[in-house]
Amino acid sequence: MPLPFSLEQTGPTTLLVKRGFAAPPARVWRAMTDPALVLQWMGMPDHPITKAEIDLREGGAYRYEWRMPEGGIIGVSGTFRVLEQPGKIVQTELFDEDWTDGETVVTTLLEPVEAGTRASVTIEYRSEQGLHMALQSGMDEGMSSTYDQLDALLAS
Amino acid sequence: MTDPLDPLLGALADPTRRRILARLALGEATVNDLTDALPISQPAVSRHLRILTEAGLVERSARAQQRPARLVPGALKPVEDWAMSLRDTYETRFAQLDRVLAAMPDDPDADTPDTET
Repeated sequence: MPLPFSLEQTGPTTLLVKRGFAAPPARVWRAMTDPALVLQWMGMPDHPITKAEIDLREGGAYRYEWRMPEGGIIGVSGTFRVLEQPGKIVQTELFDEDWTDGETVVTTLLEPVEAGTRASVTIEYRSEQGLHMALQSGMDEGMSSTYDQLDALLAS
Repeated sequence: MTDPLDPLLGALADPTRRRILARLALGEATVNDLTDALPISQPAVSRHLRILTEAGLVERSARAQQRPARLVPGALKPVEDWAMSLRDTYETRFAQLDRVLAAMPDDPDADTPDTET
């Protein structure tokens, strides 16, 4: 059963995602930093993950790639700024198709709680426009026609 | 390989161009129609329409002198295929992460993680 999830805007350029996991922080840390494990959960149904390269040290680089339904590849790259096992990761993030107005800084905190781990992921966009672009890429599930989805995109 | 998202996301990144698309979603419109509907000049409308046309989102009809613009059906398909909301993306991934965590060995310090799930 999924644990409580929340996503909120905590500042003009900041989003905060929270989620609980039924495993201790050390295990969550491994699942988030071991490429073989990352390949098992970072994919999406229509966008299978095809590459996870992680140089797990401060200043080290990482890159993930997903295959698009049309056959192209979309990727995200960045570097680790802070690695404090098992509780804190600060990394930069930039998608190949930059729809967030430049690099974002993602801070992941893994705190031990009774049930396991509380993960708090803070995403700092470079500008308010970047945050809005990231949110505008969202569309509700269940909308089928092109123009319905376009309306949702445009109305945001 | 050229990624099909490149010109699409570039064209969609501008709020004025999104407003033009919103207007065209209601039906075709001429440059004059769009100039009346938006707080920008006619040359600016033409410039944005050219970018939207080059991105394959909009086509201009040749049947009238005003060459009304309209949306190209299905042009946003690559964006729709990729774009899920941030929330959906995180929720989907974290549900998958739950399963990975449940399948991992108990010893958090094991250096040979089980990748056979």
